[in-house]
Amino acid sequence: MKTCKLAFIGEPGSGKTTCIAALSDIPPVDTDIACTDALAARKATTTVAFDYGVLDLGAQGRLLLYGLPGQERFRFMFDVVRPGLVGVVILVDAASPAGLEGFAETLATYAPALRGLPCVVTLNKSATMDDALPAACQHRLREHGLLAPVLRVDARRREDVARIAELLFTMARYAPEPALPALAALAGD
Amino acid sequence: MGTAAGGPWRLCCAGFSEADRASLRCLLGLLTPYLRPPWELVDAPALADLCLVRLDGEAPLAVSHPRQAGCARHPREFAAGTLHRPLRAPQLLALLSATGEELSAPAPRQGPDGSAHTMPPLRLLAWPLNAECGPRLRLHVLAALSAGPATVDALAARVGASVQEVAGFIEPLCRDGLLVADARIAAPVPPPPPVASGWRAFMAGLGRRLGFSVP
Repeated sequence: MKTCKLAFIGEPGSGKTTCIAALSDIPPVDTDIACTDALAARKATTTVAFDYGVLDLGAQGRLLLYGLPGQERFRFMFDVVRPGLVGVVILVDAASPAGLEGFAETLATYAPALRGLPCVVTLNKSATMDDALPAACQHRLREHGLLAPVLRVDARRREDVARIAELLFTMARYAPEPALPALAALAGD
Repeated sequence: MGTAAGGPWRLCCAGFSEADRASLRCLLGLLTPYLRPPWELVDAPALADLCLVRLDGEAPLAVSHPRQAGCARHPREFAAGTLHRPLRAPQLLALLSATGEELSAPAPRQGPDGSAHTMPPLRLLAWPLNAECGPRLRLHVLAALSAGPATVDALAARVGASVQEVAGFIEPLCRDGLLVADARIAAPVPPPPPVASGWRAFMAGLGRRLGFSVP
């Protein structure tokens, strides 16, 4: 059975668990606990390890879905998930005044690991966002030398998350093979 | 560039007024019967085989093109070979004929993929903010550019489209400063897309589950 992985990375409240729930065939395995710090003002619970879900493709294999916190102290989890990873979705809480700051922290933590990997930046909860946010995110990406499209999404909508997956796999199709051994394994199937 | 796919050579002009451009376009039309292959005017220097640069503009132009020719109202005040502006048909015909011969020389620089590269590879600096607008082919061009610098010829081969189609997506990106031609980059070997059955089957399975089709 062939498997590939997608990772969703973002600050607390950016929508990682929601994205995985939108795609997964199983109820997402989460590690959410009640917030006890300043975050409690924004949300009741937060992810302290990684979320996990599965999309079953029948005879073609399985797509494993991982949600990783964006903060530097959780960075080691990326290395655990990295083998078989096809692409990364960076989530930004576009409704939060701290959304751009959180995105900057995520980039500061993950940018070196993301070079060469297909990557998409998604602005979640974007209905009321600052119009300048997409350009600001693009600017931050350029500062880190990362190439990624910046999309507006509603993580609750399966079709929006499907759009992200389609784009990531389109990017993966053209990625240099050494960056994506998971694809090489599939191609040799 | 263009002739690699049987199309015309491409000419751009930097620092020209709209009137100068219109005049140049008109001249190219008149000279078409005498030029084999013909030349066409494009906007982006990165896509052009030859760039005409106005030398006597108000501000000096910083144009870095591997094949360029200067134009000025008083050409004698500039280096030898500077063309008169407005352009004159005999001068332009001579320049385009000579450049065309040079471009058609029997031993063009060969890229690793076997295509003739008369231009340096194009490097994507950032995805456009309207990435999802336009046809699906545009996304494939952007995805291929995300993987690394490539010439227009190599891009066209990778995404399975004509050079003209790809150039149509490239020009606006160049204009917006999101794509640059970088002569310092050696044309990389474009990795073949993983089109083996296992990969395609996985993509098709994903598309069936999520509601998109895989070309």
